[in-house]
Amino acid sequence: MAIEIVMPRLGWTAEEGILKEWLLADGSKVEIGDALFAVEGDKAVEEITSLDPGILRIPKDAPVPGQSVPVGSLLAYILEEGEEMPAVPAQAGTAPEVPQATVTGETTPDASITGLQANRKERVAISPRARRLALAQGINWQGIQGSGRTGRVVERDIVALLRRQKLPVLSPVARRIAAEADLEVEALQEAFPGQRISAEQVRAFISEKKQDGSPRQVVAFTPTRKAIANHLSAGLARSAPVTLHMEIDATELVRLRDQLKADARQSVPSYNVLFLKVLAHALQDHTHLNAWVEEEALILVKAINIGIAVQTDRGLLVPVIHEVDKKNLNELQTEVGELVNEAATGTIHQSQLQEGTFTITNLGTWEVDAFTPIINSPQVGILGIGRIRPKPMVVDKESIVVRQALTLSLTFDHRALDGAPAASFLQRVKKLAEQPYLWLTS
Amino acid sequence: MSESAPTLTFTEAARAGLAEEMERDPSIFVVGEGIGPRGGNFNTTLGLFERFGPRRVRDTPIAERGFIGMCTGAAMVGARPVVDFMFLDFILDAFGELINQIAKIQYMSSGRIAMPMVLRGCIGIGGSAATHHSGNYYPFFAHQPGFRVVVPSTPHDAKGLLKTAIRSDDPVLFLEHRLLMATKGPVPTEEYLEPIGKAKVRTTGNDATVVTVGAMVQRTLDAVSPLSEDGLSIEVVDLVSISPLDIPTILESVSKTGRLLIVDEDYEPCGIGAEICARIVKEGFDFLDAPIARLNSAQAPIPYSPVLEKAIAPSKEDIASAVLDLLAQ
Amino acid sequence: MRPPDALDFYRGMLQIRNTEGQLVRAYRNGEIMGACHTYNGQEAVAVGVCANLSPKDVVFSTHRGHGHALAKGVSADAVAAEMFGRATGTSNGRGGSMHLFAPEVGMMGTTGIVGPNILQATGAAYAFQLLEKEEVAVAFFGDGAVNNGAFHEGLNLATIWELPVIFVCENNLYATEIAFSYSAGNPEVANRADAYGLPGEAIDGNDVMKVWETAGQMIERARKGGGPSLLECKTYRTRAHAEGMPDVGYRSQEEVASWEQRDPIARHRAYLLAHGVATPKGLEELEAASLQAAIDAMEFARTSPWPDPATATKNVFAET
Repeated sequence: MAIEIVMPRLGWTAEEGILKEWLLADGSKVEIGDALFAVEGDKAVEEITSLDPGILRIPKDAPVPGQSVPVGSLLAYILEEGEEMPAVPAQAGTAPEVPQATVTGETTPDASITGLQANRKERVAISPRARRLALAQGINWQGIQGSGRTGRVVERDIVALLRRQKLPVLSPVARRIAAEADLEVEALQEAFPGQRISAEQVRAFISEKKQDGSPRQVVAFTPTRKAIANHLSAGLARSAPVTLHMEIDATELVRLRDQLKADARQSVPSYNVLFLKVLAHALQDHTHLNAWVEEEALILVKAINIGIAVQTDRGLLVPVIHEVDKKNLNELQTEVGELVNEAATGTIHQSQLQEGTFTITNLGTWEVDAFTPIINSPQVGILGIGRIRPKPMVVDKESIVVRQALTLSLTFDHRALDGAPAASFLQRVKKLAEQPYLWLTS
Repeated sequence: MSESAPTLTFTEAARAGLAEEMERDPSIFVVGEGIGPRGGNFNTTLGLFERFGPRRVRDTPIAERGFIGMCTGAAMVGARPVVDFMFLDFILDAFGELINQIAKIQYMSSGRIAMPMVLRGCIGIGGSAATHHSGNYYPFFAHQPGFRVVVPSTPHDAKGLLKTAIRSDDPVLFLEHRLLMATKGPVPTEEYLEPIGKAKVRTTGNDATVVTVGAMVQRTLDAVSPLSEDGLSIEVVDLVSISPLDIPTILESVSKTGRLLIVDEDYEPCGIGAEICARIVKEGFDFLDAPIARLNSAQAPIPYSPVLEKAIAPSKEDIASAVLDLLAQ
Repeated sequence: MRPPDALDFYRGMLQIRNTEGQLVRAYRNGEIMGACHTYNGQEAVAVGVCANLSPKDVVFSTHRGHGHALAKGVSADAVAAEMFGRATGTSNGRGGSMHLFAPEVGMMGTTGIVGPNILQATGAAYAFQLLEKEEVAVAFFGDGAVNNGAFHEGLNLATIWELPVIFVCENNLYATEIAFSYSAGNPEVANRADAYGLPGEAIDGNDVMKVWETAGQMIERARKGGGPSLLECKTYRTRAHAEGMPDVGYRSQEEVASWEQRDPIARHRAYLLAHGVATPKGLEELEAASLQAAIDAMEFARTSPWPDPATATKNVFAET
């Protein structure tokens, strides 16, 4: 069988060697250990000895002395006596292909980076965090004087700008919906000046626009709407609102109402009324939330006067139930019924809209679970009540049963108190709402 | 942690962990200079020679390369050596054994040979120990594939981590800062293990994150605590583990605060801070509201005179001013 | 010590020689990458020593370790496949010639660093003593390692703790291309044992029967708690330090030729015939079978799959 003689690898990194000279002539008889040819490598000229006996045959088209030859290239054959040279190489004679390893998923640089190079000169220095907020809120930060060292725009600068401009603050979902509908932020700003715009509001705006036919419809503010808007935006501008959400198990509350309903002699309190009672108890223990924030002080109010946000044709009104803690469920149910009616018919007395120390707002009717209520300035807190709906819950850490779930949304003014006491208050509300017998007996 | 947990020093806690493990597993043995009847230069093995005998608590000649290379072979055939090297500076003589052998044998044997070795001993600046007894060096090992590296800062973590390190089939460097060895803290009597690779938030805050490790943890807590009087709240993250680094915990903190300072007693170039900085910039760029800052020892060998020594390592005041500087960015 | 099967020694040495021969071809073809240090001329040492070992005894080898691996019972297929960088190799292609590990048969690794294996064998012996096992550890190393600190520290530690380890120095006169007579103030190895307080003996490392016998005594003593020994086997490598390196300039062709006259395989062949252990025909058949097995090992390696690139980062730590 023909044995191939190839250019050997001299040294680990050698890719080729120079065939210096043949030390045996074509047709010579070869013994093991005979020097066949000399190769010039990196370090020295080396004589390559034969590993096999036979007859040396050098093909006509083989590399000639003096030529640089890739490692593994065929130089000659060792044949048996009388054996013919192969017409084509028996094997490729070069090192087998090693598969290209791709261990890490590193990719080429983002092509868009090159496009940004042009902007570099005019670029305003802005921190990544501030930039993210600005982009999310549609703020153009060019021209802002940053308060960071070296004039860098930092997060606090964007927050301050949002406050100053009373720009609409869109929730991320609202912003996405608006963008999908090609809705300008300015249009929403006109429609909902100075307030945080929720996804629901954007959807409502879009559907109104569709019904309308014309691209835009200007709806002038009624005086009430204007007052609401001013009041809300003033509250937002002055306060540092933070909203906490907490899901509670309202099964016992629902059961309580069902049992009262079943007894014809009882008037059935609304959930708002039940929460008035819950809040009255909770606020007695958490006096910092039954308060007003003034310029540099917190006024703790003795009386617990809770307002209920009421949607009327003329806009949002907040009738106030005074001294809730001194009234029983029946009295509260009657009073709330009257006030809501008066608010709806526009006959409510101004005094019934004042001196509130805390506010309830309920969007459960509209199937809202959690939301971010706006503080009724100068109050410290407002409790948003979502819808009640059956939901699987883990009970006693092991069994899953269907319970009535309800999400509470507490917005509080961070200037007046910190997160922990606010959360503690919300926990208290949760406990009282989940276990109504705690206050029914008092 | 139970309220009845007794108070132990860092060294006592680690020693209790070592003794518990040796009681549990007869393949564990300790080697080192003066760790036999003498009980160790830092009392790391006090009483263990009497309890476990000379084969399991073995005094060695001053031959760090020799006994570390020896422990490599012992680990390869199923024993679980604990190398008590006294000062981390000393095992630099065995660097070839550490990097070429200990860190690579699991890989080179395709995982068929485990390397259950603990390398424990003193690091850190303090007490005028001077330059051959003050090194930190841990980035060397974090850089290399194959090592776990932990630097506990409390007696509680010292015990729980040493036990985990001994049970690990990987080589673990368990580094004990000189200034922490006599510090006391509650240590539960019931058995517990601390995970390698998990950082701990020592105090929460919203205005800035300080990531630190070892003796710098308490120094940082001392430095930022007065700042709360000015209404500043600083979150302090104790790395605990240098390799692997707990990047998710740091990332979570920075997502809240937007500002990051890394305080590390070891040197700055190519150090732990550089690694954390690169990872946070990559994975949390949009969280950042200011450039990431580092505070390290000065770039010089550790000097002897207390005045010079103090000038090298970050002080409480250095840390406080670095935090304020970060907040002003 | 069980009586030797002298024919087994011949078979073992031939397997090493033939496998190396085929590996040399594969290197020339470019099928083997990186380093390839052949064991030609030293076969009697690995075979003679390892004949005294069980698979539970451990061997810590050198950069010139193909012979140790084969003598310790690693298959030629697995050795060849490892050197071809294939998934079927001893370490699934991640080690190559200088990182042949087969703990299943007590082969604790060839190595790219001269010296550490002396310490590791000492440590394995420490573990055997600690865990009260009967196993012994063997470190093979060349004359180059003797001037390294690991030799000093390892022999001293093994002696003070009376560990069951045999230090086998294959003194082939050159560390790479540096003569031992140049690099050593004391160009004898065995008598260095006195400095550490352990027994040492120098023997003809090209006489497989002598190696087997002397190593056997030392191993037996170690097993019985008699402590470590140092065995110096005087031998010679007849090929270049590594394949692809010129074998000129540091030793004469006459010197190589004179050692080829003392070739351990030819000598043992003559011994077998002289003692009537085998017939010429029987040996020829054995030789042909050995060559074919080596060729088959290359074919096994050549046709084996490449490792999955995704495995490149596996096993850095124990749980991965």
